[in-house]
Amino acid sequence: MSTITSRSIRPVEEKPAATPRAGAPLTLRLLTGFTLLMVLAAAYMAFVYAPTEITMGAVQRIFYFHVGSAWAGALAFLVTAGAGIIYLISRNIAWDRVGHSAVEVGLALLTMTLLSGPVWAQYAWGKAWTWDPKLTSAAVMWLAYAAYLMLRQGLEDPSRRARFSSVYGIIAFASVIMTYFGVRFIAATIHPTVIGPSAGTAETDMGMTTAMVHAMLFSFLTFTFVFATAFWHRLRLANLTDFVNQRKTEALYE
Amino acid sequence: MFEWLTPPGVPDSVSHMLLGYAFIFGTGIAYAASLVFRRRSQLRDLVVLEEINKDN
Repeated sequence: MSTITSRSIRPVEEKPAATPRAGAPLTLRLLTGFTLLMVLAAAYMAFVYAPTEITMGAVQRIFYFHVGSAWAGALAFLVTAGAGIIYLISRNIAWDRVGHSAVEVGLALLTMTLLSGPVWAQYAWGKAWTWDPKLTSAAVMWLAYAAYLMLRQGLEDPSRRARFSSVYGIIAFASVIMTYFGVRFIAATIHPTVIGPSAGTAETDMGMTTAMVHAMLFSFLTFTFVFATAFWHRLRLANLTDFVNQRKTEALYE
Repeated sequence: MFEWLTPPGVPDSVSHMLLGYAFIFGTGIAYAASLVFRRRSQLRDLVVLEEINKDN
């Protein structure tokens, strides 16, 4: 009778992933519909409800979705770091799927931020990109999480991949802290600081009207829902992918 | 700079705004589509695997 119980040689997937359903659950379908309505409402707030900014004109309206997507991206990476910590404690592979899904959604959201920012900057600053500390730090953050996905591609063994990804996801969160909090206190930046103080040269008083603040806060809320919805869909895909891979492995050994 | 995106007479500020939002919505739609296509691909694989299991 075998007495070997070491965690390191136990199969990683102790419980097979639940049989996936082809259709999304009703809650997810309702959430998806509600999120789409929120996006439409946020677009109305950004394009119609908020007044046109005096100096920059219409291009300033990029601001609302630019900061909303940046916030939701940071939230996604926070979920990854949290899932990484929980995985390392519990060794439950489901938390690896949570971390992986959050990174992918976070990267999509951060891509929105990094694409819309330079278009706005081209008009406001006269050039799309400067090697400003805030912008550079945001680019490093994007690259750090793109590297997370590449790292996973290079690791075959699921438990090794989960362990490495968890540790990497926790370490990579330093780039989020640096971008959103660190830069404003240690370096001079021309990028405005929307929330909180700045010890550098960043513009902190953006002179927003009440309607602008409403549109910004609504955008934050909307992108929180966008993240939650996309994350749930991505997590279902991760569960399905693992289930199919398990079945493929079983079919190979039958 | 992006005035070629919009009809003549539309301010440069507006064409920049439209391009910015095109990137935002474009990224969102592309990502949502990728989720749909990848899920369909996995479900197709699952159907094939079940057929193989039946044959065995």
